[in-house]
Amino acid sequence: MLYFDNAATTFPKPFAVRKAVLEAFCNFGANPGRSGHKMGIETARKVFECRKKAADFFGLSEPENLVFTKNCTEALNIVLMSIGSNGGHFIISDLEHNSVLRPLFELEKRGKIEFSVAETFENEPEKTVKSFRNLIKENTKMIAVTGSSNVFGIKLPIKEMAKLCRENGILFLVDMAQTAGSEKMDMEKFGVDFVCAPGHKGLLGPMGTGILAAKKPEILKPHLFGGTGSFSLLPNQPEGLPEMLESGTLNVPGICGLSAGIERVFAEGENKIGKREIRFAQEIYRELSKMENITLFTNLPEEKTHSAVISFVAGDLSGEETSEKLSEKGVATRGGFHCSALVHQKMNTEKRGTCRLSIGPLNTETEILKLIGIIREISKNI
Amino acid sequence: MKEYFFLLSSITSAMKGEDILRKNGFRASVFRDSKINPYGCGYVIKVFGEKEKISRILQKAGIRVNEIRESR
Repeated sequence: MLYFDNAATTFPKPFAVRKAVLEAFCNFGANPGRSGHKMGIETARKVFECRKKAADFFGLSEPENLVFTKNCTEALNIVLMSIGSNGGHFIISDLEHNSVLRPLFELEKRGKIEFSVAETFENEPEKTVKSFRNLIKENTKMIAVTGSSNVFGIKLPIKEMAKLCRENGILFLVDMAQTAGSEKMDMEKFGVDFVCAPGHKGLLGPMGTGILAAKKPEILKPHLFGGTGSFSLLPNQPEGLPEMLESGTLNVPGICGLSAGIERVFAEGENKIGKREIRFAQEIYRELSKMENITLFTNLPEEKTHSAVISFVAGDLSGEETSEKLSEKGVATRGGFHCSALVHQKMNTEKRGTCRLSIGPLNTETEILKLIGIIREISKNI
Repeated sequence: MKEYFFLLSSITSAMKGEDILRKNGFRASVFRDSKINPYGCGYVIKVFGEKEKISRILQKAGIRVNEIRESR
C-alpha cells in the first residue's frame, strides 16, 4: 500500500516508536503516580521524561505545563471550554477544523460567547493578519487558529498573528494538528499562549496521544474529574498542572511511543522534515497540474505558506470517488469533507468534497513517483 | 551532611524536583508515602545535603514543598 493519509495519522510508525510501546508493555506496566513500588516510580519517570521532551520541543520552559490528552481535539476542547466559560469574543479562521469550530459553536449556542470567522488569503500573510485585526473588539478574548489547513495545506502566519495578539492583550491558541513535527514552534519566543497537538501525526507517536502545552495554565479548568494520585482524601479536584487536567490512568504505552517519536523528529529536525515533505508535495503538484481531468484547488505549495497537503478531484468524480479509485490501486488517501465545513465552504468544494493527499515524514521518493504514475493512469481512464 | 525528606503532593513536581536536584549534583530519589501527607497520597524526594540549599533550588524551580523532614 502507498500511504498518503498522513494528515489523519502518520503511517508507518518508526521502528523506535513500536519498540518503545512494546517495552512499555513489558517493563513499564504499572500505573504512574499511583503506586509506590519500583515499577510504579519507574513508569512515572518515563512519563516525566516524555513530558520534559515535549515541553522542550514546543519551547515551553516548565514541563508541568505540558498536559497529556487523548488527542488534539481533547486538548483544544480543554482550552476553548475553559476560557469560553467566562464569556467574551473569539476569532477563528475560515480554515478551521471542526475541533475548533464545534466547541465555540456549542459555547455560542449556550449563550456563553460570540465568535467571528476571519477570512484568510493564500500566499498573502499581511492581508490575512489585517483580516483578523479588523475583527478585534473590546471583549475579544482569544484568537484560535490552525497552523495549517488539514484539507488544502494553507498555512497561517503564526508569528505575525502572535504579535497581533500580544499588541492587543488577546490570548493566542495554535492548533498544530498538521504542523507539529514539520514546523518549529517556540512558544516563549513567538508569544503563543496555548499549543494543542496530536501525538500520532507529525510527532510519530501512537494514536490515543495528544498534547496541550500551556503558557498560561492558571486560566485552564478541569474538564474531567477524578483520581489524580494526589490529595486522595479531599473531594476537591487538585489545583495545578498537569494533574488537574489528567484525571484517570494515563496512556503509558502511548506516551512511551510518543517519547520515541519526538526523539526521532528532534534528531532529524522539524524544518528538515518540513522541507522534504514540501519538496515531495511540489513534485506531485507539478505533475498533477499537467494532467488533463485533474482539478487542483490551491497554488503550488511553498514552504512558507503551505504544508504538504494537496486536495484534488479527478474528472467529474467527487472527492470520495476519487479517493476510492486510488484505494482500488492501493493508495490510501482521504476523500470527502475532512471534518472541516468552513474551509470547504471557503473553497467552494462543499458539494463535491476533495480527495486529500497528505505527505508524511516517512514517505519516500519512490512512493511519490509511483503515486504520480497511478494518478496519471486514473486521469486517462475516466 | 544529612538526609532529608521533602514532601510534595504531585508526582510531576516530585519527578521535576528529583531531576533538578540530580542535575545539581545531589543524590535524590522519589518515593511515595500516603501516611506523611495529611490529605493522602504524597510523594517524597529523599535527598542528602544542605536543607537550605536544596530548598532554594526547589523553590527557584517553582516546586511547592509541603513539608521538610529530617531522616532519623
